[in-house]
Amino acid sequence: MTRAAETEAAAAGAPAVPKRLSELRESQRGRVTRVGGEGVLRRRILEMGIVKGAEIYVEKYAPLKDPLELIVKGYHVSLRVSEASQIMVEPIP
Amino acid sequence: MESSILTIALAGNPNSGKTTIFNNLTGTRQKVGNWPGVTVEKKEGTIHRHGYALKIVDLPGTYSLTPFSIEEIVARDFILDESPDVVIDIIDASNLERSLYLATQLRELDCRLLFALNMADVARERGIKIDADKLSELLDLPVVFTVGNRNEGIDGLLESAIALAESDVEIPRRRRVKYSKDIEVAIAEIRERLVGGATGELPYNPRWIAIKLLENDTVVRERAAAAMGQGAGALMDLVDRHRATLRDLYDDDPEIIMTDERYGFIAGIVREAVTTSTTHRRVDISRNIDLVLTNRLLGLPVFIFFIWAMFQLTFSLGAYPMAWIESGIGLLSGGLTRALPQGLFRDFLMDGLIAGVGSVIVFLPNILILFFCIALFEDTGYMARAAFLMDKIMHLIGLHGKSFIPMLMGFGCNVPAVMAARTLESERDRILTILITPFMSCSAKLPVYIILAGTFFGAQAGSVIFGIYLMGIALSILTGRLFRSTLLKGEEAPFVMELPPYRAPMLKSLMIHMWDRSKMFLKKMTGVILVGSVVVWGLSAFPRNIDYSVDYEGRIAFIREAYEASAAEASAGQRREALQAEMDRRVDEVRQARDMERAEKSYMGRLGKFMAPVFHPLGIDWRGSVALLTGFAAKEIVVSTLGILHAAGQGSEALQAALGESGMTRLSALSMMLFVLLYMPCLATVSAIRRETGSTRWMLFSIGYSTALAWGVAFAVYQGGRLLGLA
Ligand SMILES: Nc1nc2c(ncn2[C@@H]2O[C@H](COP(=O)(O)OP(=O)(O)OP(=O)(O)O)[C@@H](O)[C@H]2O)c(=O)[nH]1
Ligand SMILES: [Mg+2]
Repeated sequence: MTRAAETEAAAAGAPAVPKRLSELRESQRGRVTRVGGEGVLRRRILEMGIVKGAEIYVEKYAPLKDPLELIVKGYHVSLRVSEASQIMVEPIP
Repeated sequence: MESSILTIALAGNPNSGKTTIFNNLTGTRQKVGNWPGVTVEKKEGTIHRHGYALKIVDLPGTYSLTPFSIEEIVARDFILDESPDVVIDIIDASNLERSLYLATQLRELDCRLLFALNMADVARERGIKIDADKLSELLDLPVVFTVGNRNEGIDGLLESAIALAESDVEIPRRRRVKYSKDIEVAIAEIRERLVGGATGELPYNPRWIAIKLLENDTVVRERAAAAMGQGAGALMDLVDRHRATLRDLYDDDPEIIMTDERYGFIAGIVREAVTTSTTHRRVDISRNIDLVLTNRLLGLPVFIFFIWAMFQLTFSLGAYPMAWIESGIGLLSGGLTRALPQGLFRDFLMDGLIAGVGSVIVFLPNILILFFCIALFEDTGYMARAAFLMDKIMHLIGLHGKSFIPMLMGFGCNVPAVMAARTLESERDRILTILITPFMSCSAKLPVYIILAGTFFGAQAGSVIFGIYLMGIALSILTGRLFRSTLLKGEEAPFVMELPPYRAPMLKSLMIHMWDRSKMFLKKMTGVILVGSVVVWGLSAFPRNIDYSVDYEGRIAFIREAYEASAAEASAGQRREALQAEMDRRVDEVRQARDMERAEKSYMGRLGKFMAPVFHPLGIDWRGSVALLTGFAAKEIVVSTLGILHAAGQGSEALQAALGESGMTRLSALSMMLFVLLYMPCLATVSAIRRETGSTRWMLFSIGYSTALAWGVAFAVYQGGRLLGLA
């Protein structure tokens, strides 16, 4: 989808298009729609509370742009960008 | 009167305050720190209360009963296999929702469970109000509030635990996670099969086994199979069938669905038992600190500054107390020289004990300051940030940000550092981290650098030492890179790491930490270093009668006679004094030459001469070679041995003077420092490596690799320097 179409959809009040968590910028918020990935890593991410429906706030990216720091369920956790890219979120304005 | 023993396990998420409470309960001083993964092995302590012998067990932190890393397996195995009488789940009350995940899993185990809502102070501060009665009712278990670091609520906790152990009510079977219907059906069916078909005793409660089988837990699968005997095959078929059906139904693995549903259940509990008032929400100090410390621009420079400041403090601040200890030793040895008659015993005391132990003990202040700084990193919460900041760089060498924590700890002591690697989820990461950690120069090597750099580099000593440390870091990175692409190829583990809020370090605990460190250091002094010094001295003092190549005594007598003659001629007092001084100087010279020859002909000298060909290309003489050899027992002994072999009785200053005259050059000193930095780790570290890798081969590999690297680097620097005309 193009950027223009995306803004249009948002303006029309349609539910936000799911994005990768790694596409959110600092201080943006999103609700998890799907946690991808495989096996152990995926399980760990889920067990840390990053489950479907959880609200995530992107606190910041590290100085070298990787990893990123998130706030979920009231605590801070860091994740690599490659791992965050497996998590789909619905941006919350 | 002791009636019985109760085992109480402290479980919970990492960094929830388990060890703090353990220390409060047992009066011990296990290590506490503000980052997840401080405790990596279980610790036990027994106390006597209310007529019981209570065996309290502190466990490593876990996020769930699905273990990922070694220390989590330790915790899970203890809870599952030792079935403690009571499990206290220490919960970070300011982080309730995430903590309840483990709690619900423990609840499913049907063990006697009790909640300690720790960090109640933090929760209050954040405006989080937890209705303990409600929570207790919802999950049907006792709930107690505690503030671990202020020792609040601990007695109540213990009483509740004992009451729970004494209560003989059937453990409630309601009040636990209810999964969706299809999953519950599968659980029930598997459960029935388990109960009906077991030939042996089922290891855990059947519902829990059924859940874990659905989640495909390999350990539980094996145990259940063992208990089922003949019926194992059929059971596993049943489980696999259910897994397949559920996967079709939900389009995902059952364990994932069940995780989701547990969090759903938890959300319900939190809704009912927790209210968060946003009105008097205070500024989040921790986030503000991170605005600077993990800032995009400032983060890394500040980090480097902290490390630099740590070493700067270690050297500059440490110099003052060092001078005091030095003069103390000077007084002592001066007194002893005067008080004791000349002979073997005095030699033993002066040249063996004082030269050996004394030359190392002066470094206690430096070592303490270094440990103090590392403890500050650990207690404030900066350690986890260091891992966060360094992850990308570590990633480039194929390692994990969390690997940086053991490496940083390695500056203090390699033994706990090697153990700290347990928190790494991937076996390969862990072994790799263990192999490169010894290149992080530990505090025991510091004395060697201070002596050598201090003697040969004068004002630039600080920079030289800092350079040595950097060299260690660089080589550990290169080694990591090399091994990653050859020996230890493989998948990288995820970097999912909790960043705890900053906490003010508790002065008391820092002081206790320093005190414990001092005790450890002194113990080492009176143990391995003392013994080492005695052995080294013995080997260098014997055999006693050596046939010298020169008649030294004759020469001394000759000098004396000459003095007597000229003194008789000289009339003025002043002139006589000058003559006397001249005589003393010459006698000393002869004595030194004699001592030198004696040392060379001693057992130690022979050993050194035997090893010399190996070290000659590095510019290290036979004394240095022997010193390096003895350093295997403990790195401090390198300095002790140098002190003894150079017969320097008065602490490090005398040793520096002796080294300065020993024919060593700047280049050979540099070569020796690099060798010390890199060569095989000390005995304690080597055995830690053996234990933690579980393999003698890795241990031998580590010894071989590091020593070969040390030789290579020292050779390159020394010979390269000579080619360039540096001496
Ligand atoms: N504010 C506050 N801090 C606490 C409390 N209890 C413990 N702490 C601090 O929390 C940090 C973690 O404590 P530890 O006892 O090491 O935690 P742990 O659960 O043993 O951690 P791991 O061994 O890593 O699993 C330390 O900095 C403690 O000083 C409390 O009740 N309130
Ligand atoms: Mg602990």
